[in-house]
Amino acid sequence: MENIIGESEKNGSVIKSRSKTEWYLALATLLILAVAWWTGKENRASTQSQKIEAFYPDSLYRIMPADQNIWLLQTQRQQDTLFLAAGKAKGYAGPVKILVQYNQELKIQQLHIWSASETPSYLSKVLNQEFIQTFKGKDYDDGLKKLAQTDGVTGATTTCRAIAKATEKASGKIAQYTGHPFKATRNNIPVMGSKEIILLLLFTLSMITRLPRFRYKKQTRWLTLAAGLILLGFVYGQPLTLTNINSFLMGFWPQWQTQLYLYILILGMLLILLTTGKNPYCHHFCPFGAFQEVLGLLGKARPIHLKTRYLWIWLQRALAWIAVIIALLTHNPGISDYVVFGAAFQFTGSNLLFILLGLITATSLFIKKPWCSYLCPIRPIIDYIRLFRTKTLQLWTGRKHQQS
Amino acid sequence: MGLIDIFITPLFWIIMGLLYALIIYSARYWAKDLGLKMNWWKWLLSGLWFILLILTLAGGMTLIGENEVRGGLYFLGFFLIISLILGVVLWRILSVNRKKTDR
Amino acid sequence: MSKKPAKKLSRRDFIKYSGLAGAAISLGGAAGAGYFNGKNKATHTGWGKDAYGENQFFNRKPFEAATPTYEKAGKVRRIGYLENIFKRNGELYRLMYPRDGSKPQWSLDQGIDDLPEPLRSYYRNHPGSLKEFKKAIERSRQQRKNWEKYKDQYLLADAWSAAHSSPLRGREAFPPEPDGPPEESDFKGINTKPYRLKSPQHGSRLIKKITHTFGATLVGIAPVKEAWVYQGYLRGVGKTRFDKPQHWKHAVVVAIPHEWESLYANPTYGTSYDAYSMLNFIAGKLEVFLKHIGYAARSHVPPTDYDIAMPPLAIDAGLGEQGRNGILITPELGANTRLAAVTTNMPLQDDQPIDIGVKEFCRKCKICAEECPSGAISFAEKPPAPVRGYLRWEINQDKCFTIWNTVATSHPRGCRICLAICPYSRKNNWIHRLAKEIDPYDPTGAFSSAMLAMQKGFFSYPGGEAYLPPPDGNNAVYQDPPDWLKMEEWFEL
Repeated sequence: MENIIGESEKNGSVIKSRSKTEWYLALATLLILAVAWWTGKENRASTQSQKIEAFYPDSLYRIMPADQNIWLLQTQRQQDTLFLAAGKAKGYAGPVKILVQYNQELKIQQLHIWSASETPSYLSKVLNQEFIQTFKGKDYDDGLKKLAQTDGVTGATTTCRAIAKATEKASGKIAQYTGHPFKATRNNIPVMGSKEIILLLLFTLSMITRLPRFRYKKQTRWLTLAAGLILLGFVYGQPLTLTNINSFLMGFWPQWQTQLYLYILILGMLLILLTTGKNPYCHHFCPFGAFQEVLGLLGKARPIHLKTRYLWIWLQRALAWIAVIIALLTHNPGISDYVVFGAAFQFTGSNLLFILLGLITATSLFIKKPWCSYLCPIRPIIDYIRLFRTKTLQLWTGRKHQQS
Repeated sequence: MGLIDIFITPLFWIIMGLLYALIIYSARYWAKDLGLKMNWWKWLLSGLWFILLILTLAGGMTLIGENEVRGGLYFLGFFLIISLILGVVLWRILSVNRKKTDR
Repeated sequence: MSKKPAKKLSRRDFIKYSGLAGAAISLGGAAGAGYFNGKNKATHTGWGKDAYGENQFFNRKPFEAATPTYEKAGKVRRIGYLENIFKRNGELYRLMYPRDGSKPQWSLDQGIDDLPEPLRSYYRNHPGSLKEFKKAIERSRQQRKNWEKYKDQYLLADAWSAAHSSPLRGREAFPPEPDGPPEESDFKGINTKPYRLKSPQHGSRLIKKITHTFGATLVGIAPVKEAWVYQGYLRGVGKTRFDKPQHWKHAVVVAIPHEWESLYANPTYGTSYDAYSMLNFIAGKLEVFLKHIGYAARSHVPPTDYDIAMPPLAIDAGLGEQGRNGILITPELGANTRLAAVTTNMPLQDDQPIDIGVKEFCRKCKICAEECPSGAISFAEKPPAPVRGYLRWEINQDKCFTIWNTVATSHPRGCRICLAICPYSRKNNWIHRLAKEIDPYDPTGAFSSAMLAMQKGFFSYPGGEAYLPPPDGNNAVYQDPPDWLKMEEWFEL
């Protein structure tokens, strides 16, 4: 039983019938998205300069810029001059900028998170676990390499590593400025781990099952769903989320050497979507989709046929659109991510997300894949991209017909 | 704390015992009318499921009473969902070969 | 098509529907009973209760171990008295503010080299320590200024604390300070014609019952190991090196909890003095009792009147095990365990130490480390280095003390957050009793991992800095204080 909405190559008529209004709407959306992106970028730049004063208020400290991203710091009481240096590294959802305070001997005294776009609940997890405390008292080049390779706080590894890497970069700057020796970590060799291989396998398998004469469609699909649920969902904890898409839109591209997985995921999806129009992720290995399908099996869930189907589709699209706009305006890919995956697979998230997760879990028993059909932002985004593809193909074949 | 002391009186527990007897007695009629083919392990599973439900409610509410409101609510939310899922599974097991009667 | 006959409520239907209603009511009953159980104050172990409290004792017999659960890892040595932060801070204060009004011998602007021995050697070996002390002094000035602001909120708590601490101050405090060497002081006023005990077991059982009537929650008997005795300072004598006195054969170790409802509202609403003053009375009375029946006795009581370190002594007495936050965790009271002891030469049978899996639990848990506002508690999987010959947890005392000087109390009188949020420090109702009783029997640790997953997943904690006053935090507390400590309930503000 296929889903009624989603596999729109079968239901292309649903889109084509009101295509003109939708097409203009799609174009308008594109314009608004661009404006939001630009506004967000401008806003972010101005708030950063105010931040350093927030950390070191004028009444207690004197700050003198010494070099690019380096400041001299003096307190009222001590005669020692301390150093401040800023370093930037790529986090999970965007760059993480750290301000480090060093004493005269270049021992780290304080770390401030200058700016970060990480999802708020993950960031507070890191802060709550006092990951930052482990830096205090360390020499500027001591163990930072090791820290950059530890797992840090469970479930927020990328964030922790970004903090460590940013600190290392700041240390490099201050070492250079003060004439201390410094050995930076080499740029990592691209890591092709089990995660990446599994993902590639999943993509391949899902495309194979689409071949017309393939006889084991059902079994393969259950295999990819199971792999998606267990591996992508619980073991790796990296399903496709709105944060990933927002980061991608905003140009926050993580280090490809260590985050090859994300690149394969997003670029693979885009490639398959643009060339074949198919969406392998949702149907074949989305962990949360698999979660709902399993529950649906247990409860004999049926898709519901609503008369107001069209309204619900547009509501789902509006929700996704608003979330993306908010992310662009605030220049923060993770801020509006209402996707429940974090709550489901890593028990991280706000109270609201957990309530939502509970409702969806209960509903999945009786209604087939309710999140996918009514709430997931990934669907509308894929539909949106597919619309442009369809239009392009139409224009292309239309021109061809005219020529022949 | 006056009204709440009801729950500690012996009378409360006597009434609960009576209720359990009533539940078990009526359950056989329910099973017959719903056309369920019951046997000893199906009764056992049903009983265990009901106990799970009772423990979930009692445990979550104990936490809330202890002033751990968020902990209690999450406890309830989590285990009630689990109970729901297991309940659906239980229903599927019980209703194998179910004969739909018109009573 | 024949019409259906009018529906009359048959006996069968009646039974069915009342059964259904009964099921609904019983679920409601379970919920209500659960809620009542949670609210029930009678399940607070120990505080204010007599020795006959309802099933408040954990059965230790199945978990008695041949040796205590701390690991020996190197050469054992006694604790230097300067390794106790209150002793060394006390020395620094006396140098900075001499009691007799003479010229200060040292000031904060001076360095380590200006200090007299043995302080100089100590701080040379622990350079961060003096820096932290200076930080604590700075913070205490701010703390005093803050008190004007926060009096409106915390005066009741402060008054309650002052009340409890009042018997502890001054020369007239009870129990009286030892006077002279232990060979004299412990025997002062002793009954010179004691009766013979039937056996050491009789002695132990008698003393435990008596001590319970004085108000103790937990009592255990331990041999006095020399390693636990402070070196370099002996009460009643002064700064001196000494061997453990011969007549310190056994120690009667006493444990009581803090008042529970104020405990969960630390650091601002709770206090240490409620337990401290009770322990002073219990141990002091026991000392008098022992001397009266003919045995030498000396009390070791909080806040600082100890010659012996309490937690390892309590571990030897089988009361509990050491937790990550460095203090004793008992099955009944969790980390909310305050200790005192009375050393004596009475023939007693020592209790066996126990192993209930606290070490394994602390390895996984780390909630106290996450919540400590100063980061004084280690996050390491195992204790990183042996301390005086034993592999055990050790906190950073100086960082802890700095926080005492930061929180919104009238003066530095403790923090106690790690006591309050430890998962072991819970009420004695059915759910926690189940967890506490089942966990030690599970050799795989799967049960405690599941409990811990729920503890970390379902419960939220304010997080380290939130407990501090603004701007670092917002004077957060783990649970709401009881109404009898809330100013706004009783006073016009």
